[in-house]
Amino acid sequence: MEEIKILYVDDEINNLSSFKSTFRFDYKILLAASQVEAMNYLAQNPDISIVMCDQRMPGSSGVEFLEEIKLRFPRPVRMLVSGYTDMEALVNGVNKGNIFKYIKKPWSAAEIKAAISDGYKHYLTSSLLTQKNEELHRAYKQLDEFAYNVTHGLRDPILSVLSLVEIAQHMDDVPDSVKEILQMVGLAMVQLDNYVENTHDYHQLKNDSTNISEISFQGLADELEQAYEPERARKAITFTCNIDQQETFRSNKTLLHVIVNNLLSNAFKYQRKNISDNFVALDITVANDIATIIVKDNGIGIKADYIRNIFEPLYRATSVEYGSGLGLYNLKDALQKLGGDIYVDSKEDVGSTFKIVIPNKK
Amino acid sequence: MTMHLDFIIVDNNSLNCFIAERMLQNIDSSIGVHTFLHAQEAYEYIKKQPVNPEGHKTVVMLDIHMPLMDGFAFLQEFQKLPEEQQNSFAIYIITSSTDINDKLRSNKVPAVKRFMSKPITFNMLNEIISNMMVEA
Repeated sequence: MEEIKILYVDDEINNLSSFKSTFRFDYKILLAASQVEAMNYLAQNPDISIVMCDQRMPGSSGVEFLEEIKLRFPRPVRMLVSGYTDMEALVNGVNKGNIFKYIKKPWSAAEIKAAISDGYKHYLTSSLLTQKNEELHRAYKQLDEFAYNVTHGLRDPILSVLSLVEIAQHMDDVPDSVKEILQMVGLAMVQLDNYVENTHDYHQLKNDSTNISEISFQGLADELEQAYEPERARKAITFTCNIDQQETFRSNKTLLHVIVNNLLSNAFKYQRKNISDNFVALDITVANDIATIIVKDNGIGIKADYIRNIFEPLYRATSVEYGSGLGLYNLKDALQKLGGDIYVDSKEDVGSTFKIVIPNKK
Repeated sequence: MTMHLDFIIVDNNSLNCFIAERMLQNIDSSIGVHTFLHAQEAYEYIKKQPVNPEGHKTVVMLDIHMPLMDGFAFLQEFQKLPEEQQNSFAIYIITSSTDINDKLRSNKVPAVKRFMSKPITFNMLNEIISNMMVEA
């Protein structure tokens, strides 16, 4: 078994030496006759697992000393040794969680051994827990970095292909038949890119949702409008955007972005090809601590039978366009984290309206 | 007075450098293009440039996610340059990152004109060019 390292603090030299002589074969013992000395030992010996301190000391009391080391050296288990029944200080110390055990003087060797055995078990479990917690924290951070790197690593070449396709489209010596094929290559890349983005959102939602800040819905809408401009232009869709925000609104930017982005993505994606007045409308109103977001389109709509399933992960209500099946699932997940609600009104071959309400996080 | 534009492309992916250069040449062959695969080299180059004469602007298209010196480290170094030298350049962040934190972080730097998402397109480059013309 591992050697247990104990620091014993008492200003009476006799007490110190009798403690050491009794237990010198059982434990590794450090003795300190003052609190300053004790602090030095703690600083130099991070492997001390138990600190025992006498209550009556010059300067601050044992209870006060243990309270202080709890902040500076949280790992060792703290015990108070006292011959005086200074009840108030003791109760206080125990209640603040500063003292694991109280040992009454005069002590017996058996009592001390039992206390140390208990204390050491406690020390092992709590330091193991701390260690595991730190490991977990590191693992999460690495996972975040991994997700970020993988997303970037996948997207960068996809986006390069899109640019190359565009260059070829502008070249006079490329025949139209080849341009047509390249157009399809481009579309496949857009699909792949959406898939990667959705997967990244899915990961991000699992982790980041505690960051709350002031939201400018106009800013959010402008950003998204810019992002959807190429698709809007390509499909000749009329996009209208009305933002009415008279009051400050606090929420999580990432989650809001996922929500509105997913609604717009679907609205722009699932358009009907046999009409010419295609539109997408985004309306956001902030009033009385509630943000109401409405995205409306006259696209392909959703079959009545399918509506209840659209928020399930990987469910797809159509094969008309390519999708990851994660978009609305991510949206619902984000919405739940913000305490919001969603209402769907959709009719096949007429269009869809998604309405979302989100409370202000004050 | 006509305006002369130069472009500096900073992207560790040589394909992206090729794309930007090719598109810019297609738009206007009088545009000067310098490409750098390493942000450090781009920085050294920029540091040595004389302050642009009037009617001459240099656009820096900067990727964020790069090994060794990344876009943010580049911006940090760039901001240490004398102000009049900084003013010769207009930085556009061109990235495949959609991470909102990347965007917030780069928008805090005054020399950054815009944060634009890849893919690099003719529209994007035309927009940068016309922005520069308006400002001149």
